[in-house]
Amino acid sequence: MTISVNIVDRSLTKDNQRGPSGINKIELYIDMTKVMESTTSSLTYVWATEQYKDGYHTIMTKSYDNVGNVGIVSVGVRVVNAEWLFLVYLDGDNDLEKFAIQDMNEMEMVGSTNKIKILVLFDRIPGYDTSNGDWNNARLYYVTKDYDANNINSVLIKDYNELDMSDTNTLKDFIIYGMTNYSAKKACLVFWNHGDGVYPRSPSKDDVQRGIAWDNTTPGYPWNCLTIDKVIIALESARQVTGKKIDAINMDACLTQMFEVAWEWQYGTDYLVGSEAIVPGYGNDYYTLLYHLTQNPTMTPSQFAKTIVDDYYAFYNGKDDTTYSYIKLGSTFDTVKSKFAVFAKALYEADDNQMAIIKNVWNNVTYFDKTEL
Amino acid sequence: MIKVYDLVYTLLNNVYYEDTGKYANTNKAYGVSILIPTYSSWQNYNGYDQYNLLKINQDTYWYYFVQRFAYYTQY
Repeated sequence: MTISVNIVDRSLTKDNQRGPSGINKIELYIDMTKVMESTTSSLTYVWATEQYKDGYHTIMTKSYDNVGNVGIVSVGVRVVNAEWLFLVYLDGDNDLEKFAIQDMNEMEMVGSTNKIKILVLFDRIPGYDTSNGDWNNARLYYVTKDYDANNINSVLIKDYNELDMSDTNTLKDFIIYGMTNYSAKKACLVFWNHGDGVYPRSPSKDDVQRGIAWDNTTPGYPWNCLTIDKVIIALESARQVTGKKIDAINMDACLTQMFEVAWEWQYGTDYLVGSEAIVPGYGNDYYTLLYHLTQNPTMTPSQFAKTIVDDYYAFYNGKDDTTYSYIKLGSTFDTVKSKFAVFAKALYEADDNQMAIIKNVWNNVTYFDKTEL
Repeated sequence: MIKVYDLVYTLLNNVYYEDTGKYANTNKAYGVSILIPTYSSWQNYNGYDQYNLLKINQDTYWYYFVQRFAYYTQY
């Protein structure tokens, strides 16, 4: 919420003869606590209401002129904070475009509420899906409810030229815009696109590319994607501006639920949700998971992460071969890291007999990739 | 063995998972995976290898194990 104050100086000097003496300073108070001061006749303050309890609060200004007069104006406001901001980085700038259209319409079946705000950065591509006007640039939508399963009717916030979804700055700017203009107590970021694990990559030899969010309109395939190191740069850059961390990241993309990703993003979020295996084109069931969120908007990040996993399971059970999980990150992940470090050292130091055992185990574990063997 | 159990026990407290189809049965999945390439795919990475730049490989012996293991599996 932005508070703008503009003081019109109608005071007179003490002898009431010479007209306004000029504004010396303005002070802005919220609940009797000074939050900003200006030495001009106006000020603008971005009030992070999510840091205040829902209910009535007092905004007061004290303005001082140059001869000691003080003017006080006070207003009462009722704060109703949103609980969750649901940010979707919807990269349909590739062969998944038709699924992106479907998922956008699924989100619209629920829509934003006063407690849940859904913001989608949607990039499309020429060709593939020609519906909805076949626009092929990037658009920012505030998702609103409608019952049309085929057509996008949400509020268009910005109509960009083509955006490079594989650019760190595109991701960073989206997060900053969302968290600044649609503030909420908690935030979930969804990566929507192809996914393919982590480095190493060897594009010139076997066309193996590792990352998420390919932007096929951007030259440079297969390097035109967000690698996991680029993502954490964007997350940390955004956090420096917003002062807030993303509470949960949901990877609606294949093959991303990996140790390496969790390690890299440990301090970028508290819950990493995603799949070890291939994710079917239909991806998450956005209608169900957003319905559950709107029915219980005070869900904690832990509860919401579990809900996403459970809803995915409910949707695909009996239909497909899928995996879905969440990993607790943040400082909680330190224990996993320390145990893993001991484990990795032991593996590295294994003698030949132990290596034979490890190879036998390796031959029998579940394998999730699609290109290496 | 103790090291494996330590890690598995810790993971059970940090990872929540649900699997369907073959991953709930014969090809069991446990919620988090890790790269262990074959020798041939590891060879493909020569000259392009950026795996060692990841934090997990900066912090642990994992990269050195993967490298050693890839060569071990060529026979």
